[in-house]
Amino acid sequence: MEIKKDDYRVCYDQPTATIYCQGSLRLSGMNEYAPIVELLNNVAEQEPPVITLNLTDLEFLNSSGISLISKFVIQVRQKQTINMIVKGSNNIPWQKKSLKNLQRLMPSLILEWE
Amino acid sequence: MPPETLSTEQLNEIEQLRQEVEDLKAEKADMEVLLETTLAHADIIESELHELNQRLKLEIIERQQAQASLEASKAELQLLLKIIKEEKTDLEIILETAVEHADFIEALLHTETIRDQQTGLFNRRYLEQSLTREIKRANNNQQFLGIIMLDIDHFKQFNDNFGHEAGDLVLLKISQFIQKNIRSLDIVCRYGGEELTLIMPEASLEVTTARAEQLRQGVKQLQLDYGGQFLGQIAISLGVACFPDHGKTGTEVMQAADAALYLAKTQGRDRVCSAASLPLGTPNLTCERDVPEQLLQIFQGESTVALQSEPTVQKNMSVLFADIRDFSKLSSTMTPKDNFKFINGLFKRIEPTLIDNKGLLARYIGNAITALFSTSADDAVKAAIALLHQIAEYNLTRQRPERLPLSIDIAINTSSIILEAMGGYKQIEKTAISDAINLAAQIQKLNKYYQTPLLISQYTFFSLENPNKYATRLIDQVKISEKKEVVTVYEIFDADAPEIKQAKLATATEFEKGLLLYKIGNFSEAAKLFQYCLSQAPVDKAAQIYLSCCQQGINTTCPSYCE
Repeated sequence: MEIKKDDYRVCYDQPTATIYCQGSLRLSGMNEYAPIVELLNNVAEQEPPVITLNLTDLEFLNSSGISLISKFVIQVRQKQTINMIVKGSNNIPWQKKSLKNLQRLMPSLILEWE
Repeated sequence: MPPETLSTEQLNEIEQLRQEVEDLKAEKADMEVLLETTLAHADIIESELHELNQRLKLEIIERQQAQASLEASKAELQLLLKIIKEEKTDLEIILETAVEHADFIEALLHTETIRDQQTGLFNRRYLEQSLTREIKRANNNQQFLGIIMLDIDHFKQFNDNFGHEAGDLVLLKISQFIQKNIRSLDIVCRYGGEELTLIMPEASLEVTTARAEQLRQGVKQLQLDYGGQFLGQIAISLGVACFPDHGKTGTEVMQAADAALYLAKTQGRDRVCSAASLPLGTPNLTCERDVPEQLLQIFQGESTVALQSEPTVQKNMSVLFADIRDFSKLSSTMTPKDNFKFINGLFKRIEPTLIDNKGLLARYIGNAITALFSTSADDAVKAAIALLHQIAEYNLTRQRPERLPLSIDIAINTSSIILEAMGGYKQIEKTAISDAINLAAQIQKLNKYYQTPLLISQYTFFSLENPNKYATRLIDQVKISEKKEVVTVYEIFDADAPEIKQAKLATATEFEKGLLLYKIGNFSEAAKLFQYCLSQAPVDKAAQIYLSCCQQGINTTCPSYCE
């Protein structure tokens, strides 16, 4: 599963159950985010024991984007069978600020920084 | 006992008993009726009670059922409430996350729009905004506002010697140093290139100057190395000005600070100059840095393709330097305000003449004006002649005795300027332009001595399409101070009065011959030729000077500042 555009790429690596978000996600509103939502839903439906969300190469994310990720975390939490790891980068300023809130949505979520 | 023997008494008694029996019988019948009635009633009551009881029992069951179902739905509702509460919390967190995220991104983007990425200082856009704001505040509160313009000395050389990355590092370190050494209310901006601007609210000229000096000394102490290589001592030049002393608007004060910076540069760099030491009535300066920017447009306009394929582009540029002769004499009769108005008015008049001849107004400082001509040297000469005619016409309106006629001294120099493409940027070497301007300024001083209005350097002379189109003659060969080279200077006298122009033209050959003989020390032969020139044009000041020097046997005519 992969969505690739000029300035961003979202893909799912099944063997490692890792979702990669890369580049700059600045789509306008939930309508434009729909294909990404679908990809995330698919992953959640498969219910792997651990999902890793790798954001280390995601330079920019707008507000609709952070809402989308938040909703995905809730969806995973509600499954109750999936553990979740989010990987962020120390070099991307917004990540330090925004990703820690994901743990409030899912206290068992593990945040890893590199 | 026989029954006939019954006494009355006994009979009465019997009768009485009989009566009693009858009574009892009646009473019994009544009682039976009563009993029957009561029983029947009780039966009815009992059956009614029974019915009632049954109904109550039914009701109790119904109530119990209702309560059970109520309790069931209560539990259901509580569960729903719990889910809704959870979702509400989730949504609140999402909202909070999104808002915090948006705020953060917004702040980040805002920073990007007001900060210079390379140095972290505020950018020029922010400078302009805050300057307007601060000037307004200073004006309302009747406070001072200091401005420092700062430039890193020999920055280009630095880049050439150590590479651009080292240059970037120096710029960054100096920026950081300055940021650490200012007051909290000061605003430091990157004006462009290696030039920084400091806005100091509530700071007088003294405070601003002191801070500038402190920064200059501090920067000198910086020990910078790049990749293990010591980068040497770094010096900066600073110009300071103050509101309201040196201008009523932000632009005016900045221009004054910029003129002061230019002064610091021309006085040898590594120093602080104050706008207070600028010549009186320095009007409406056009900043020096605009010259390369505008020139760049000229270069790019014509040779964008060349720039892409070639690393450098070379172009001839002529500098016209004009100065009002004996301005101090003129200005002493006017108030500073009138002085300012006069110069401004004059420059406004002559500006169109320069522009019409494809000139680019570069700067005025004091009573001098500099224009650049990137088209041809001929344009510069034509502009100069047109200017002189214009001044002559203007003098016709100054016939009243208290209004002295105005004369302008003009010199033109031509130089080839190299535009280098470096690291994606195209840069013009500023020093090449300053050198060209300086030579023109030096030559210009000779005008007063020879009483000529227009002199050009040999570089301009040989750049002319056809020098014979103009009335020209060789006038001197001089060593310009600081420069070792000897520069030949030509006079252009197209704008002289017709009879003088004719006489000078007629004697030009003799004059030039005389000059050459004089230069090789043949004073007596030279004197004869100059005498001939003076017989044709007695007012020819240059011929007078040369003749006088020949007669006295002095081998230089040149005033002290040229040697």
